[in-house]
Amino acid sequence: MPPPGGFESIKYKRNLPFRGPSGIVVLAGVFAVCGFGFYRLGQGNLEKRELQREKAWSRIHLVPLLMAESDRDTYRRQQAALAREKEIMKDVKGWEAGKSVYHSEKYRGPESIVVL
Amino acid sequence: MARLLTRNSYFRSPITQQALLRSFSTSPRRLLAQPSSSHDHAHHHNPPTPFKDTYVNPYKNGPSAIDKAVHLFFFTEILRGMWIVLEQFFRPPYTIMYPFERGPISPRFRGEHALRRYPTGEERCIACKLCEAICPAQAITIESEAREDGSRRTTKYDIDMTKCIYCGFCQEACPVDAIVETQNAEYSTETREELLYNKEKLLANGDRAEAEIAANLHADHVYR
Amino acid sequence: MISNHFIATLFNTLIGLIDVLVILLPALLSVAFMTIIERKQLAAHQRRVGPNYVGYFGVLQPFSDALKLILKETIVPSQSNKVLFYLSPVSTLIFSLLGWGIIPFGQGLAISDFSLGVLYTLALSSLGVYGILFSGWSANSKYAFLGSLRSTASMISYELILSSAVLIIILLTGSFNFTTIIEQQQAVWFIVPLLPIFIIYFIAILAETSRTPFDLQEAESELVAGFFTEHSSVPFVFFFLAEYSSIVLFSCITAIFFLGGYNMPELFVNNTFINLQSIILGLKTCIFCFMFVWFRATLPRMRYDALIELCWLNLLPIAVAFIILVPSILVAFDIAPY
Repeated sequence: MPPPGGFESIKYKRNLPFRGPSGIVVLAGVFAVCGFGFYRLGQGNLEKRELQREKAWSRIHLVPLLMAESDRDTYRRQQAALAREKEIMKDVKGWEAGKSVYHSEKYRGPESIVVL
Repeated sequence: MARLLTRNSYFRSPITQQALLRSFSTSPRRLLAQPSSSHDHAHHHNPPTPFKDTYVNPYKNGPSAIDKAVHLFFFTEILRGMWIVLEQFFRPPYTIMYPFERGPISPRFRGEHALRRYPTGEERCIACKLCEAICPAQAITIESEAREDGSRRTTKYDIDMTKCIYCGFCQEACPVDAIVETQNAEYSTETREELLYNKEKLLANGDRAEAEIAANLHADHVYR
Repeated sequence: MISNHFIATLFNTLIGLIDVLVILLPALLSVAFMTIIERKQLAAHQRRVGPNYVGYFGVLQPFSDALKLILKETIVPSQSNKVLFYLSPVSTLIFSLLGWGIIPFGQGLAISDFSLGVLYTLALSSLGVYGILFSGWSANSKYAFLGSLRSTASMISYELILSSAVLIIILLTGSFNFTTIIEQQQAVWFIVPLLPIFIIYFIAILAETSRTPFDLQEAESELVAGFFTEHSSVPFVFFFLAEYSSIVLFSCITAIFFLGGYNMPELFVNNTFINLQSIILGLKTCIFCFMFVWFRATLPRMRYDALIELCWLNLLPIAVAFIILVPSILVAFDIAPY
């Protein structure tokens, strides 16, 4: 026989109460986390900018040194090419080694450098 | 506004339709408890209709819009389910390693057949052929004749285990508890002929498993 | 002179080949073990024991599976397009394995530290769709064709979401190079500022690799097998390998994009030859592989049109919104990386 007072009613409805933080708390949490993340990211990016700046300036400062080095190298190669030309054309009459093909006296650097 | 109604009406309920109409309408904001029927303006002095007075906004006591949005975008119910699944990950499994461990078997389990004997050693079967008659698959074949000392015994008692359906009717029908089903279900063979049991095999089964059969019968006899 | 050059080229080629093998063979092994990890982990989530018969705790199971599949007979439907039938699994596997070429296992330690690495990865995922399209179509069977069309449509839809999420990462760092992205995360792991985008990205990855809840295409109980219904032994092995390889690859890429790659706090100076950074990357990849299987254990399958609707109607507007939001934040607070 059923107990006195009848059986309890059967729970058939869906009962999944949400016990966690409410919507606003979650949203505030996500905003806080993302904000903190963007703050740190911003610091990192600013530092990266400074690093890029340092890289650029160091390259700028290095330019005279590198230019001087390549000038020395170019001059040496040019002289060596001139010497080779003199050697090859020493029997040809009327050949001036190293003569510029232009009539004006302006200095032009060598058009091409032989790298052998 | 009417155009909105017809275009989206096939997958929106009337309540959300009204909500949409309210949000998209350019007329002055109305209070939530009033429906936005457009014929309201002309009938101010009419007596109030039952629908307008007793209208209850179904969204009033539920979760707020921010709650619903957060639960949608950050799928909180799914995360809750996932947390449960993660908890299960750290719990021990229920698996039984079969050939080395077996699950519990009830005393009423119907497995391989056996022919029992009395404690004196006399075989119980008196060739009454009740089991052969009741077997639904006609798997039992019995031939009997008088033994040298005059008692009624079988000469041939075959159970075709490939026909048997393991229903247990024979053990219910037997008046002397001669044919019983043991708890053994692991007797597979490599040829089909080995599964056609004859009397010697059944008696041997019974001798091997007598203690177990007796214990099972004692455990179950109140219900038979 | 010429012979020196020839020997130098040969030597360089050999070193390159060894490079590739050193990364590819462990990648294939990891793919093989991913299959057994998935089965064991799914079993653990479901309170049962997975395969435990073959090796100790079943670790030799993938090898026995591979052996069984290789020894099976390869059946080719007679009315199918034979060339594409054989070509499609091969191409799917190739595009899946090519993605391992740019993942850095240390600073600059990739097979090729390509300066456009992210673009390469996205391009590969787009090319992988070809293999799936051809496989179902070439099999000349209704169900394989339907499965492959559905797979293709869902993959190309979710590539948009994937590309949007990846685009936002690129905006934060200003470079396509994987090593630069990882170096940039020494400030903060990108999952912290981009948490909602991580969610979108993870959903896109689940759909790209056709994993639950988006695996109606290869639903093992429903559509027989989707686009690889007609492929039998060795082609099937290729598809299988390609799927799990893309799972592990995408886990690795997720670890690189969002979790800092091989970054770890500098607790001590590592003077040994052990590459601790690659171990850290491996651990972070394992976290995401765990999450893939965790999602599979929890979620039911989505209906196909719900899947496509989720992409185009729900995720894509969110992705576009974030593409507008994140650069605005970067410009507003002047924290862009250039």
